[in-house]
Amino acid sequence: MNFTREELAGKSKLELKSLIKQSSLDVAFTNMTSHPELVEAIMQAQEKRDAAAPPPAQEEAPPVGGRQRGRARQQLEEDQRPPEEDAPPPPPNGNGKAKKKIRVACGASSGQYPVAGMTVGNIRQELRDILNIGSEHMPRVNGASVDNDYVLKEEDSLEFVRNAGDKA
Amino acid sequence: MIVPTRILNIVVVGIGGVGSALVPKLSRYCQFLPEGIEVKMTLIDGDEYQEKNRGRQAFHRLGNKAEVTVERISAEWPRIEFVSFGQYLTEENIEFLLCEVDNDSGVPQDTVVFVGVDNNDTKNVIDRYAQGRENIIVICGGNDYTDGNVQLFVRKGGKEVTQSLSTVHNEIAHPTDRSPHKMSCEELAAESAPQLFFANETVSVLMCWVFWHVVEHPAFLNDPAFAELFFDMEIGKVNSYQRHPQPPPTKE
Repeated sequence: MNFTREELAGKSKLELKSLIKQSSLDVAFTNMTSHPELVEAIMQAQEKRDAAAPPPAQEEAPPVGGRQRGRARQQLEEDQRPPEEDAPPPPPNGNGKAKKKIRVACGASSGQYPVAGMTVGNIRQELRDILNIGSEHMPRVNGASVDNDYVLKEEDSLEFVRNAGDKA
Repeated sequence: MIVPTRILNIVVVGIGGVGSALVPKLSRYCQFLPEGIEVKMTLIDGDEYQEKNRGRQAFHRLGNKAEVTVERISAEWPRIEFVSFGQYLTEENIEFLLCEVDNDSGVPQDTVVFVGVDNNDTKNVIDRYAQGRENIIVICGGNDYTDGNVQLFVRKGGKEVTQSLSTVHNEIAHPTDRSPHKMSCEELAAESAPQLFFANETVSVLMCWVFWHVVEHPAFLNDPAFAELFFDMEIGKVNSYQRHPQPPPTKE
């Protein structure tokens, strides 16, 4: 699945690096690679991958105004298209129901993740790089302190409290 | 002469990167508050401006940060009564500095404390004092190189409206650093970690966000929509958190 430039811009550096590893994109980076550089490199790698892939079965839309629409524009139009009535349901978990996503936050980073039923400790490990969660960041569920053994419920909201800025 | 119906007592603790960015913004805003509100602004800092501070801090001469800033800014904003206190805030002088009534007139005042210091020890002193006050508003901010936070602690009628600094942040409840007045000359002279001017500015702006709510939206102090903001310049995000006081755990 390709990401638009807007979607990539909304992700953290750690999320982008994780995405590169998971999708096996041909992108080289170091710790000094900046956020905009990562976004640009991923966009180019996606285009290169698409160019190397066999053409899709259905006809492509005719060019508008004599020019081929850009891939970002195509993605934007696909996102704005209303969902099809017979779209396939999301993949079920073990009991046949899709897992409800829970908000997990750490400082300025946050997201919705299917972590109900997991312990706080496991969630910390899974999302450590994506949300930049430090080992010293204390967990809170629905505003109250919990320990790492707490098991998240569907209606919970989890925060790893980032340290206050200590310079001024 | 207009008899003030209210004294807005603003205390800015720390006039470094955050404080020196904050004071002009607060001053410009307070200069044009409605008539009837008397504004007093006390600047507190025991440190001195040095040439190496020019990259992040505004000053027209070297000298004590609080005194130099009051000297620079008071003529521009005549409505505000500026007071400088050129020593570090300590457990011994905090009661005098954050008094519930005006020391001169005895008139009760609404105290808003802005904390822009670079050590958790001082934050702990302010937080413990504030927890014993009937009414007080503390707006505490700080940053690392490209990220940081601003937290609001409110006590009203002897009760917490939001959680205290220490309740939320363990590193403030149990500081491992020391206030400058407890440090040796060699320790004070040691180079501190580099900071980004824009991070200091961002903290000062977020503090102003909170202050604007405090002054112009009375309902905000009864039930704040947010009590902590975290920002991260690298990812371009600001996240807000509510910090409602938690009920005590029920005994089984």
